[in-house]
Amino acid sequence: MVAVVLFIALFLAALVLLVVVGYLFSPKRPSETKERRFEAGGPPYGPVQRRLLMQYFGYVYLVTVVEAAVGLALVAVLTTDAGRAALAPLAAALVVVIAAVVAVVWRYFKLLADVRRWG
Amino acid sequence: MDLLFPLSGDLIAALVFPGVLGIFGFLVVAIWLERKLVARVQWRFGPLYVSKPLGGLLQPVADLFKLVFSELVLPRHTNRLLFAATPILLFFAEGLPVVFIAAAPGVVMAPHPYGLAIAVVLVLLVAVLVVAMAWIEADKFTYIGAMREILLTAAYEVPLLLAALAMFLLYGTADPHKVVEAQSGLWGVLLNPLAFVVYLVALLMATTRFPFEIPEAEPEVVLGPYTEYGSTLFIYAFGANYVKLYVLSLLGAVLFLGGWLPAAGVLGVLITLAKMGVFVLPAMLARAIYPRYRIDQALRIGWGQLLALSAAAVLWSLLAAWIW
Amino acid sequence: MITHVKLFATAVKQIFQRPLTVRWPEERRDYGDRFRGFIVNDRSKCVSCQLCEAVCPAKAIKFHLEADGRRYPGIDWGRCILCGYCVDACPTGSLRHVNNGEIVWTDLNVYKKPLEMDPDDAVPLPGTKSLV
Repeated sequence: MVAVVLFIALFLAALVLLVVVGYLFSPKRPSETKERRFEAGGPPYGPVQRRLLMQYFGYVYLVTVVEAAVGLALVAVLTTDAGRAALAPLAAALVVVIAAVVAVVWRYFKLLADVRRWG
Repeated sequence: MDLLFPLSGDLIAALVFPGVLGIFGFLVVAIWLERKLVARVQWRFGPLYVSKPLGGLLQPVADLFKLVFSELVLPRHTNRLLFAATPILLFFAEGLPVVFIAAAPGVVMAPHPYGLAIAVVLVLLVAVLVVAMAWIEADKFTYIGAMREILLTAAYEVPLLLAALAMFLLYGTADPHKVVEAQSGLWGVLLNPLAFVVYLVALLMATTRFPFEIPEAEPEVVLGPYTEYGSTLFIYAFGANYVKLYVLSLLGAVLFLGGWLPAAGVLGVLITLAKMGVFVLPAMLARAIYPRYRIDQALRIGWGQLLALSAAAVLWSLLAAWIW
Repeated sequence: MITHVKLFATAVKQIFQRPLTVRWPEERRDYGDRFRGFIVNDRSKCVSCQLCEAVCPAKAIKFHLEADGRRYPGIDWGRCILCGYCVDACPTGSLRHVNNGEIVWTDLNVYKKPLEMDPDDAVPLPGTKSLV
């Protein structure tokens, strides 16, 4: 435990120290161009005119939030005795849920394809 | 425990290897090695200006010096504190899994019966911090880079977990010491070569090396998630990638290549270091060999062939564990 | 699968072959004696016909008045692309290439230096092969 705390403290301290030392001894000449967003091209003017790709945002949410939460739940189930005792009925319930979802998707698969094509 | 220093094993692990000095030392050596190897493959010299007798080994140190004393620019259009804090957090979090990995018997900071599994999960959990860093930069290039990074993360997570799971099933344990002891007869790479191949490809995907260098594809998104950073924060943002390579190759050396066998103590540490090279060298060479995949091609590989291969690796492990 | 192994084998083989590049400040390449480097003007042969100014594709040559009352060409080195059209167009052969392609000026205002076109100015420092 001592080693872990020492490692964490030393690591963080080294990182922060490098930033602080660098900041203290580096030139400070702020200008408007430096503190602006990076635009590969001319300087920005007017309102933003590019469409933002938001369609992948759901996957970002799934990976960052849902996956972490499900992973932690799995760890909680697998590492406690009460959780392990309930493992078989939990797994059976999960299989039932997945089967239900697959059945629904299968039933409406052709309809979904048509919706996507004609919607 | 025949260590020469008056420090105990876990303190050596915290300070020297695989701790703080190991991470920073690896950063210097890996950047130099990558540039040198790729240059030699391309029939040119590589960095040779800074320390010629050493073959330019101190070039990354010179670059570090230049970057540290460059002006630290914090843009005005985002939260400046978070802008400065996220690369530090990312670098730190990428290095956190080494707490659970052992480099020699006793040289581990936190011995735990499920240590290696925790290390794998930690590696996957911190991948989200790259997205946080890219989001705080508030730039369209970083946004695209973050999207690509998180999609790639989703693609390689399951094969990586399954490959690690295959090895845990085969050894019957996830304790770093017992895993290496279980390889006294045959190394993990020979026991389950499918898992080794999956782990190698997942390592290339995880550290976004060629052919999967999609979030940082320079012709497409200017440096991807690291675009707005300069000076020391750039070292942290870019170096987090190398720290991930360090963690994953250390994990691979312990899981697949027999860790510190056949020695222990200081020699065991050196042997682990040498075995890490088996993972680091192909990752470096791949930069000179492969072109870059498109994002949809890489995702298709991750969710298709790689997933099938990793499932086959788990089945192989179950079969092998059942037979023996 | 076998292609991947072959790729790595080719890469490893190339690591042990000699590099083709030249470590520039210490070693130089020898391009031969007829290398078309920078362009100089021999004042004694120049007849100020202005054919070089007419043919220059980058509009780098401009004529200016010299102390002896005659006009001579001056090259703007920011524009010159060393294509050699002026050398080919010169009827008296006063414009010629020197063998030296590595010259550095310390001043951006390189057009206003007509004296640079003297043949003596474009020789390398003794002991090196270029003016750096």
